[in-house]
Amino acid sequence: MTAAPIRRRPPGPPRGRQGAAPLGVPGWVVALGAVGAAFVLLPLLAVVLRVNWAEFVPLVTSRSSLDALGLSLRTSLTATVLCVIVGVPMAVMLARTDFWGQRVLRSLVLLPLVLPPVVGGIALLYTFGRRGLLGQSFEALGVSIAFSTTAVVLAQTFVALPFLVLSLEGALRSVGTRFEAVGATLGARPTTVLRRITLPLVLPAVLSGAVLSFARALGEFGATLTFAGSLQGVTRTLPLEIYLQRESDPDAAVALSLVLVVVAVIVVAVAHRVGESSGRRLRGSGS
Amino acid sequence: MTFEVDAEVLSRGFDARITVAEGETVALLGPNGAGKSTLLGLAAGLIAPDRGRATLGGRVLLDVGSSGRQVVLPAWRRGVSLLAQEALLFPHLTVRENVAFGPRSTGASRAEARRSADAWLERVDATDLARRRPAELSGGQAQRVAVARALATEPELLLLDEPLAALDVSVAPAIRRLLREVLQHRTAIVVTHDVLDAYTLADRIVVLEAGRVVDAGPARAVLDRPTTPFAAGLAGLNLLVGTADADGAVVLDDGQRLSARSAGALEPGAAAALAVRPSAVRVLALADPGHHDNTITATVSDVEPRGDVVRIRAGRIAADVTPAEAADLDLQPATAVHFVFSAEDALAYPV
Amino acid sequence: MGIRRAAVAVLALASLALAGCTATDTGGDAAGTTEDGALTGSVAVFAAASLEDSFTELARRFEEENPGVCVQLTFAGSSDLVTQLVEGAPADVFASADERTMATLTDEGLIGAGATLDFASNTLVIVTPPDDPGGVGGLTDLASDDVRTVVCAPQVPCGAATTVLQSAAGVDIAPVSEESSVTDVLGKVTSGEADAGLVYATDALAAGDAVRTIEVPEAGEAVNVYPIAPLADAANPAAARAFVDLVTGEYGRDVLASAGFGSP
Repeated sequence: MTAAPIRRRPPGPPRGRQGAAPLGVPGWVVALGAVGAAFVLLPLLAVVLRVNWAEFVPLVTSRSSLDALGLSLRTSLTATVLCVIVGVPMAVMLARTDFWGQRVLRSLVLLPLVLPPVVGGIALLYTFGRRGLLGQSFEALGVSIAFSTTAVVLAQTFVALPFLVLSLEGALRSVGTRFEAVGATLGARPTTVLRRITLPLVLPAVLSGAVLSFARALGEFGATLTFAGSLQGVTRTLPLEIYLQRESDPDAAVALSLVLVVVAVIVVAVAHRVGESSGRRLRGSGS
Repeated sequence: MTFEVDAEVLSRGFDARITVAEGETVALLGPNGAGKSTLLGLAAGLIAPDRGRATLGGRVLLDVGSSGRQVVLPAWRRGVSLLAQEALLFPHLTVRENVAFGPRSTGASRAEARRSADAWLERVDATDLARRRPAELSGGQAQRVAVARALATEPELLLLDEPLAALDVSVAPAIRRLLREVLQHRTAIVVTHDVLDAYTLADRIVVLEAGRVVDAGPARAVLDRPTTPFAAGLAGLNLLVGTADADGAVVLDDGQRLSARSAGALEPGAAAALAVRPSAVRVLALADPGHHDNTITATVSDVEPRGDVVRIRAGRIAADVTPAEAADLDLQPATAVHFVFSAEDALAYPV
Repeated sequence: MGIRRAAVAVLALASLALAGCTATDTGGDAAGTTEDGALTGSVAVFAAASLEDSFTELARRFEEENPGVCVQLTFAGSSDLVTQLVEGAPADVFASADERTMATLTDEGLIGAGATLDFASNTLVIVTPPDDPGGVGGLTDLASDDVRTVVCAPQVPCGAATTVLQSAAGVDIAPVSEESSVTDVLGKVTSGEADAGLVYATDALAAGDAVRTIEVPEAGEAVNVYPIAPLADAANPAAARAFVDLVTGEYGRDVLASAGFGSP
């Protein structure tokens, strides 16, 4: 059974010899690719099919739903800002400096990507919890993090940070240091180079990394549940609300799931657009 | 602003000492990997040496390993600009912003930086490009802007790393002219592979090989009287090295005696070189010895058409002949022939 | 509907295959009895998470008494299990931590009317960290803002019981967190994050020295009753029946009592 090779559209504007035959993609690759796509898309479709549309609006506009959505958006935004504030310097440090233990540090920093979120939550608990490494000192100062919105933001930042660091470090490495070297020989001090050359050059990666971090923060569940608790309007984010509603009101859970999916789709679309438009700006294919 | 550097970079096998006098442009020549880029990196502050010292107009740029103190001035405090093969204009800034970047970074106000940028853009004839983005420029336009940007900081030392190598042959002459103009009275080092650049841009030539300075001097002296195969190759000359005899002739290792015009005093018994251009060398069949000032008999190793001439190589000597001559002589590799040239066309000099 | 059920069945089979079972398979039909009346095959039991220790022991006993049978245990929150059963997960027995979730299955027709038996009960107790940082003496202390109390959310069975207990005792607890499961409540207390929590007596007992337990006099007003029933379309109805008998029988009561459960 030989499938006809599928023609692949050449990436970008055609260049080079004219009339060159387009490269084919083997049929089995297309088949497996389709299976993969279906594997991702079918569950989303299944959620949509399960939505009780008659009750949809009241379900997603209930007090608890709106509280959860509002809290999720607020905390995710804050977490994203935190990710940018510490993640950009981290990425610069990893991509542009050379120090003992850097490889180990890079692996460890990316750990939250692969760590089960619950483990992350436990780790945070032992750090910022009442009896934790830092939490004890905070507690002594009268600052209590457990069961507060701060705890939610910390949990989200913890799991979202690697996304920004990873995408930005890759971008920094691929941009290289040539422009920075030119900047330095033009008399720009390191901070000026960072601000006027490095960051503008990797801005698409910063933005898409931030969007990814936001999306990850929005979906954060396990670490929040373990570390922050669950209280309406304070720590109960949308994923926690969905998890809880599922116990008593599956329709509400499905409706909220759809809201989360829609928000996620919007976020992904925005990230894509941002990446494209800033990439275009640098390539200068505009007027 | 005299620039002096004497440094060693172990990992690159670099150990050289170079001086550039105030207002002087030095062309740095050498085969790939000779250490030309290392030298520029050391001067610009992009490479740190294992040992060495560099000064620019009396300021210490770097001082490592010689005394107790260690100085490695960061690139941004050196007053050294670098113009590379590629223009490397900041892609996110307009042309004017690119040129204004240096002045702005070194403390000029926005208005001052802009004025200076406009002045330099006018100087390189790129005023009408001011609002464009680098991606909208041709290679030649971009390099013009890069020149303006490098000079807008008023550097005390300008480094040029093969500034014309990446350019289309049609635009290179215009940029070469521009560089010749701006390099006048400027302390600069130009790395190049092109002997024309060395002639037109440089006051002096330094030849690097394997991290060492092997030849240095005024452009004409180095290129007309090369002492290394590399310099001879650049100048397009045959270089034959031997010993001077009492009559001012050069005796090669195999005992062959070659006569030539002599330039400079040839000490009998001292090392001497003879340079002759391939176009001045004729090729004759073995059966046709005739009488000539110099005859070298050798076996053809290579026959290489070069436009309207054919270059015939045989070991250490090469000759350019017309295609008709090459055909008449039936020149092919492994053919034994005479290479002849007159003493008038050859130059002998001490090395 | 058919496709969905099939998909759920495939996933469930896959998980069974991963879980593995040591009893010898009779081949072909997985369930039934031999000619001399002995039970064979396997029996799938879905039970509330709080029953894990007791049911593991009961399953061991069941396999001992019926060498031909393999018991496959699945523990999760009662609501989770109900969702899975409604979606077609194959099970023979369901034991829930509250009557409400069981009612869902009866309504769906997955469990025959009158097939349900109450086999245990659980009451709420207060737990605090062993050093009692909040100085908790009783339920009224939990109303104080100075005491960080964690409870179950009203949407889950232990939270529903908590709500009943609060109104019975006339105490208004202001919790710092309403958790989705009693395990999470216990975790917040054992880690010292919370000063107090309301959990089932069985959980407090299982936690041992990690918590200090305070009985609540009004707890009798908010008793959680645990019902058990064989599924209407059980693949191995005979074994399902027998397992329910073991749980509700004398041995079952002993095991459950030693885990801290009350009688139904």
